[in-house]
Amino acid sequence: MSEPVALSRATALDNNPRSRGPRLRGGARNLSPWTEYAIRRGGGVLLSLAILVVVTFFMVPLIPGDPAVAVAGADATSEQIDAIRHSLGLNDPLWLRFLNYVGDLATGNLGNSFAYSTSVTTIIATKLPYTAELALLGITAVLLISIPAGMSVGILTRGNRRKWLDVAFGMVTGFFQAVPQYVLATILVVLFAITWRILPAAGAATLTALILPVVGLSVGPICSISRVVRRETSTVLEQDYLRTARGWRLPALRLYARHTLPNLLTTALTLAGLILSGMLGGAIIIENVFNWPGVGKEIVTAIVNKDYPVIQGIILVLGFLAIVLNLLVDVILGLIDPRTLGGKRSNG
Amino acid sequence: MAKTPRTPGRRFRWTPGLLIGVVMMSVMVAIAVVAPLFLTSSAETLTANPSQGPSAEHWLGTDDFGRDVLARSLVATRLTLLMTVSTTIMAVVGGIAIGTAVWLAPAKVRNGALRLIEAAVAYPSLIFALLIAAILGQGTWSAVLAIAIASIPAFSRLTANMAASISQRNYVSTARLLGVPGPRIITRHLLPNMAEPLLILTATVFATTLIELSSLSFIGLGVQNPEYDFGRLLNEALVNIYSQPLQAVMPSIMITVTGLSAMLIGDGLAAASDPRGGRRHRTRRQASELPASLRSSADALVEVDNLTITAPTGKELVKGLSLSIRAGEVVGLVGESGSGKSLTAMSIAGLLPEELTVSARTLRVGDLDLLGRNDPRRMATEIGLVYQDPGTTFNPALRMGSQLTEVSRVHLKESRTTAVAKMVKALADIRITRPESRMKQYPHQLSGGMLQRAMIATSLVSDPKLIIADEPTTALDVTVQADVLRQFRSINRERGTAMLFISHDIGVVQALCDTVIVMNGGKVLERLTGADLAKGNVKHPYTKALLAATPSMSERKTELVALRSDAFNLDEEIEEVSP
Amino acid sequence: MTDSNSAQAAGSAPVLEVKDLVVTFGAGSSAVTVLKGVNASISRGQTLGIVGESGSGKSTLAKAIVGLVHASSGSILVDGIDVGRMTGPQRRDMRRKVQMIPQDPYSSLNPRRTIGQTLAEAIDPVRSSPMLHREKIEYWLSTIRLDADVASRYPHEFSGGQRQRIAVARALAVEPRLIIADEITSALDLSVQAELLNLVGRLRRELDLTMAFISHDLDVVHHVSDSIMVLYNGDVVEAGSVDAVYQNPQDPYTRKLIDSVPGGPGFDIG
Repeated sequence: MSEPVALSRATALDNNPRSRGPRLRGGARNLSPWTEYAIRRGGGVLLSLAILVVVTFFMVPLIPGDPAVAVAGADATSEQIDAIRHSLGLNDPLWLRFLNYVGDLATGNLGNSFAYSTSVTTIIATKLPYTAELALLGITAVLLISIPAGMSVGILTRGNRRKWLDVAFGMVTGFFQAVPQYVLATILVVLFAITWRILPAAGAATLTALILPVVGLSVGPICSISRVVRRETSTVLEQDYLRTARGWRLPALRLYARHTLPNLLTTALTLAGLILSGMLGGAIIIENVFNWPGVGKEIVTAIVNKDYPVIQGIILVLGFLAIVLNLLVDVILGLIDPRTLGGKRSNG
Repeated sequence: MAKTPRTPGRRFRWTPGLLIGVVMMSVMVAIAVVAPLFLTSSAETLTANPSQGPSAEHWLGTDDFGRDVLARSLVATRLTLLMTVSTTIMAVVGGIAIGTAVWLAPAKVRNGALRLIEAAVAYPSLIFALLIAAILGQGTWSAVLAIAIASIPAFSRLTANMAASISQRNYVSTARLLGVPGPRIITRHLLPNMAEPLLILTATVFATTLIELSSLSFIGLGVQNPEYDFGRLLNEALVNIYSQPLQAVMPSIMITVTGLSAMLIGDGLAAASDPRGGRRHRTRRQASELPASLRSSADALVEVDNLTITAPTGKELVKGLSLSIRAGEVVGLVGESGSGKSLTAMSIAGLLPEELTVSARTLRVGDLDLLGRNDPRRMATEIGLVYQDPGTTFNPALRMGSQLTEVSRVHLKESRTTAVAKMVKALADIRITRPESRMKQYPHQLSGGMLQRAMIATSLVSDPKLIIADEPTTALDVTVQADVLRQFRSINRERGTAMLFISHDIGVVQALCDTVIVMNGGKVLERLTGADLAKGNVKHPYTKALLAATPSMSERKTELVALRSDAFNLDEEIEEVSP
Repeated sequence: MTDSNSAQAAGSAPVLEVKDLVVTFGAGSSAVTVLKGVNASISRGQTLGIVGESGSGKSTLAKAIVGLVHASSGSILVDGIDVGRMTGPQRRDMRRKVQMIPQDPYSSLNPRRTIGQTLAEAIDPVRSSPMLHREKIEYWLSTIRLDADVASRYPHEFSGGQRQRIAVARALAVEPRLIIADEITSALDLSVQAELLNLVGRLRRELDLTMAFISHDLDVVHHVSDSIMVLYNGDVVEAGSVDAVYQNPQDPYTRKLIDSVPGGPGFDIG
């Protein structure tokens, strides 16, 4: 009657799961499943990229205000503004600008910043590594902590044991998810940088400067993923194949590491992929608090400056990374559990 | 006319978390309603006392413009909640509209739309919201719209997933056959059955929306002066965090409490709607009245004396059952669902769900006393197990070979190569073609019959004394079933392995079993030989009725004897006959 | 239920005629042909038993007949009219002429709607008010031997067998020309199955139903059908009257199938 919370694995959209016939999953007869998979996903990736380019190009100029005015400054004359507008190519019809933009894209050229007159590629190339550094360390922390934590809690509370642990886990993870990142980050700064003076408060000068931003960035996702892992663990523990493994009287470690873990990774990794692309883009808040020179801080500045090429460039690059990450996660999942190659996988 | 049993609907369960969440949320709502009525002037009037510390007049001090910090925090609750609720409603309504519309669309449009939604979900939503906020201009309602639009893809994907899974239920396809128009299928069949998960999701969306809205205000793109929500207050306060730390305390607490309460409500609703919840678990096993070691082991391999299995509710599922299996004997347990036959088998296998309580005078297999703890190695090697549904018996993520050789490697300490070689031979012995390549395949690549034969093969590698097979052929096609039954028969003939074979199918047990035990309501009703059952030589009225209710292709019965009409209480019938 | 026009036509044309039906799923290298040119026909008042093992295509055949699955080629005629050639509203009417009783009693009824609402929807899919159709609902409930007060209850209050009977009533309430029963007893216990089979038998006699009865259980098909069709891998390997096929199967697969039924005369596991 009631659905499991919709975040867990929902094998949707497979129109006739029962009439599959004699187990011809995927029906690949001539091609290997991977080849077929590559063809199917390749088309999807290209389509997503095309949509991404079109949407970003046409949405960004909708930002109100005149970039020429923003470039020229408050005390510029209208002739100066016109000249700037002309030199930025803003007088050309939109479709022509789009064609030019796509043409440049093909050569890896994202255009020039209106505000700095450097190329967008350069700006992103200098800023992205900082953000990527944070995001990659963050996601590593998330996976290393949340999967063991969620699994342990799931195992310890199986069959409604240890009610108190279940309640405590829900409260603690709920609490840390409810604290906004910037509040948490500020508390970290006040405690570690101001009161105890053991870590730097801002900037990206030293290696220790990474610690606070990474913690601030990953606490929320750690809580959300460990909740998902905990729920998936209790689902997997009730599956028939776990009873089979118990029937073989396997030692606990083998039972959980070999028979349970791979089956909950599908959901955990899919979510982790989404969170990583979210971190690449969503580090905005953390970058603001810690004055971190990444793309998140850059895009806020660019929006304020109406610097279209920079906004478009960052959005494109982040979108591209999101698509690539999504694909990467799916490939990893295909390696772990080949069933996911055949049909649609959808979880969130 | 038949009577229908009236089972009470599931009662709503208040978990502690849900209660706390609801109370906290009510307090926040009360503040949002009341605070602006009384505190607006002290929250917004500029005074000549800026940046003061706490005092009797201003408990948490004043801000840069001399406004009362506490009053501002309380008054801001209204705008924050209003914004969050509006955003949530927009995201939820938009998500449901798109999610269900996608479902209504023809297949090609649907697949395209789902691709688009997938792509949108993969995109970082905060950046997306930022862009929309920039396009719409800074301000309260553009922030609301921005976050709502950015949350729609995720919500609509979840709705579409749910709609797709519900639309696979038969009542939806039946409604289509009845000619019910699409929109009405959505309102009558899809939405009502999605209500619970949607509500839970809505609570989650509320919590994330709250944070995202405040984040937008925090980086200056959301609420603008002179309006203020928690995010705006924190934006102002965190700048002064070194000089005026108290200013940040109240908004931080308020926003955390609001978010936490939404999350607790979501968790609580999920727990309340989980049919598995509410179940109490009990590990305590009642000790046997007489230790098995004190009893004469007789010649029986398996001895079950006075076995009682009790559900957590106190209901007895198996009521004082006794049976024994001699070495080399094939015993069939036959009965309808709820007769307790599977529970009996699983208690002999030592694999009962933990929440069930088991007590018995004797429960042993050979010299393994199943009422106590046993060496896992002996349990694994001396009792072989075959389960009902071969499709779910094997771990889908592992290759067949590594699962099939697990017992040999773990318990018999064999090397991988020895174990694999042995298994390949075992598979070949039961006529599985290309055994080497089967070992490298995953369970989903094999047919049900092949999986079940592989399961039988692996249960034999350790040469067990007893095989317990729980409805091993129920999920198989008849021709495959006949094959698997032949397998069981030849194992028994060649190796002398004793078997406990559970089935609901009289035809199956009478063909295979030396002895058949007919069970109903947790009790043994009759014990007879397979040959007698085949001849129809039965005594107990229940067994007779069972035979009369079975349609048969060898004779044409005009009317089957309905064994249990709804007015006919079987439990009373059993009481009259002693087993 | 008798319609004079169609009764005239029924004199010659069978209620259902399936001609050279081919159903293929997927395309290109991953295409799987599930039905490979199936022919079948059912005359008025007759029950055709369709047997086959998993992968034989019997469920796909049922779905194709009711229109849930598209035919790749071939035709399906109901009362002599080609279903595949119909458009929009016509097709909706045609759909109501063929009703299916699904397999799983637990997902065949919407848990959030009362039995009355469920039946009312079958009677009138658009304005489905239980009040409006009270008499008809009571009539159909009485044909399956349930009290009228059942209409205000929800599915979870009923056992699997009772739900399956309600699903039968829902199909009957449409007053279709043809009923397709897809494995309707396979999820039921023996005793409940007997009861449902008795009900189906009685309804066949009293209402002169035309049915396609799909099952993997040869005993059950034998019990309810007039004629039988054996599917294997998407092909019809044998068809004919029940007695002829069961007593003297011509195709080796049919022989093997019949000999595999436990308790049957040819059953031998050595």
